[in-house]
Amino acid sequence: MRTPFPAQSGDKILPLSTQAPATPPPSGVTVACPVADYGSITMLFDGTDVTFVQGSTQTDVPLIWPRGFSLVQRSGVAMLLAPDGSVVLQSGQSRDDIGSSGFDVCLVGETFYAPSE
Amino acid sequence: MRPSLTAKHHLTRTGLRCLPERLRNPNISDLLRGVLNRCSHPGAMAEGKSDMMQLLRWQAPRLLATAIVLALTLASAPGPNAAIAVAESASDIGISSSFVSPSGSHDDQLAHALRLRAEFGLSTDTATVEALESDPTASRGDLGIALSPVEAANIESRPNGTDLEALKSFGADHPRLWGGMYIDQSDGGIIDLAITAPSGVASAEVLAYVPVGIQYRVRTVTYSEASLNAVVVAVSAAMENLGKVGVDVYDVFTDIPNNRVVVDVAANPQLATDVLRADFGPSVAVAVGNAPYPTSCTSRDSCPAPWRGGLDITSVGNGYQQWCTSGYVGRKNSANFLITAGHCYGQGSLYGSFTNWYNGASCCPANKFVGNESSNSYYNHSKADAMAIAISSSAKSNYIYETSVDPSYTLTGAWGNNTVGDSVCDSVAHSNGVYCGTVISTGGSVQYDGRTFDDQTYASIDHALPGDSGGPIFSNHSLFGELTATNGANSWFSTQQDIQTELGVYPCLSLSC
Repeated sequence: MRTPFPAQSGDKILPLSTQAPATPPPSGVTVACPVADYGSITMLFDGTDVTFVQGSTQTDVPLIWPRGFSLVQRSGVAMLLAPDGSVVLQSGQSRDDIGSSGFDVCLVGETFYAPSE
Repeated sequence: MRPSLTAKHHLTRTGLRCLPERLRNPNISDLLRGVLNRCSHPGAMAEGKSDMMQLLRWQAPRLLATAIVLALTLASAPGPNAAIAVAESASDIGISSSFVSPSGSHDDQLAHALRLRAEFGLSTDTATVEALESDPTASRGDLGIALSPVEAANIESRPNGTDLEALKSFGADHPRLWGGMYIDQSDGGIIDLAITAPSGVASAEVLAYVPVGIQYRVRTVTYSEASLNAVVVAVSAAMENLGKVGVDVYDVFTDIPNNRVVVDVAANPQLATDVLRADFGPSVAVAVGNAPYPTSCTSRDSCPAPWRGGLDITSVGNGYQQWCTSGYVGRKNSANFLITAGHCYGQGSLYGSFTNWYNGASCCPANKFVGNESSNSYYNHSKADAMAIAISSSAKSNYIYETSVDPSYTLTGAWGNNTVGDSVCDSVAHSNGVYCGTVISTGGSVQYDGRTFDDQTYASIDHALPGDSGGPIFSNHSLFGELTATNGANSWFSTQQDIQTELGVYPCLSLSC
């Protein structure tokens, strides 16, 4: 089971849509991530809510992040944290290597986040 | 003169193509070879049960509207078609559970099922179909939609290409008599045979070649398929001269159901009709095509037809945009397709379905239109996560984009039996490069998007980014498959052989394909 990185003192935890616990695949089946692309995704923060906007269409994309991802407000900046505490995105930033198909993110750059119990 | 094509206008007729290669090698021997390769056998469009799905998707209304003569049928023998005509109701089937689609939203799956059912002449009663789709025990067969036992038996009983070998040989032996044939799936899979003699005269001879138990009809037509193909060859050979008199031909093909030759022109349809009929006879019909876009292939984002593997392709569905990589060009009967990953088609109502595909990073300039999704095998326990995008036959190639220096790397072979240790490479758009590794394992089952894909090959290609899906897997000019998924360390791909099985699309291994 993957858990969120512990919040630092002063962090305000913000709500984030994350994936439901996954059932382990049947014996002999491997889990992988399809490599379709959302294009450039920008994280926006209005002081209350965070949205993820697709750059090309300016459409809010209701991404569902892997279990263990978390969202915190730190020094007025919203930060999307991976389970290891690394910053995946912060408000105002974009990245174009977030992938999967559908809204369930399973690939950030070359890092694969398998569904987790 | 290199008359490039945009595909949009041609999509309505892709399934009817019998187009000789004439864009790059416009000499008569090549033209003839192209015709012989793809048009000489009269069953060119009737080689598989699912093949006609494409044809009828576009042609059924016209075919029905122009239904000509049913001179002979086996109507007196109650075949499976008769059984299927008795609509089954949801209550008869006894299913009332709510419909949860296995491969997308309720609406999308239902619409898909209804569309296919119309094409195959099955019941399109919404309640009945909804009930069937909710039934986890329902047979899905080759069509990938839920079928009642009666329907499944009916589909299974329909003829396929191997059933028609004798008729093909009859056509080859009687070129002046033979007007062509096709499988009319919307009419129960009946074989439509066209002959140029009064049906009563020829029927006895034709009948001897019809397999026992196959339903058929015979209609009398004016032109033999051979004569129509000859007109196609002649028009193709004359394209340059036609252009000098103001008739810019984009495309020309044989239209078997309507017993004519269709010529797509840039403009001036009346002038074109007058000139073409004067030169080539009354079998020619004129349609106005789309403007060409004669630019060169300079990058994965800017590479006009002919389409090829390794290109950046994109589509917008439900307001969202998605990117993938093209895999390779293939052929099913006389129609051509660009293969990519099936999951590029989308997930259903939330994320949308991505049907209209373009080349490039931005969506969606008309002059970069590639084609529309035609079929996919993106379902649970599919052996290939693949999608076929219908393209113009004039936009086919056996190329892979490798680099800007070599944007036309050719595929000349297709490898069917992946072996552990095989050296393989991909050519992918987002990563914008060629990455290689070796086959680690074969025949694996991989799970993503709530589906399991079987018979997948795992390879040590350690660089796969979002947007690389669908890219070709190849080695030494041989095609292995198309990239589908990664675990961050290595990559998975569906084999070209399984894509053939799932979609019926064979890779193009020559320009004439």
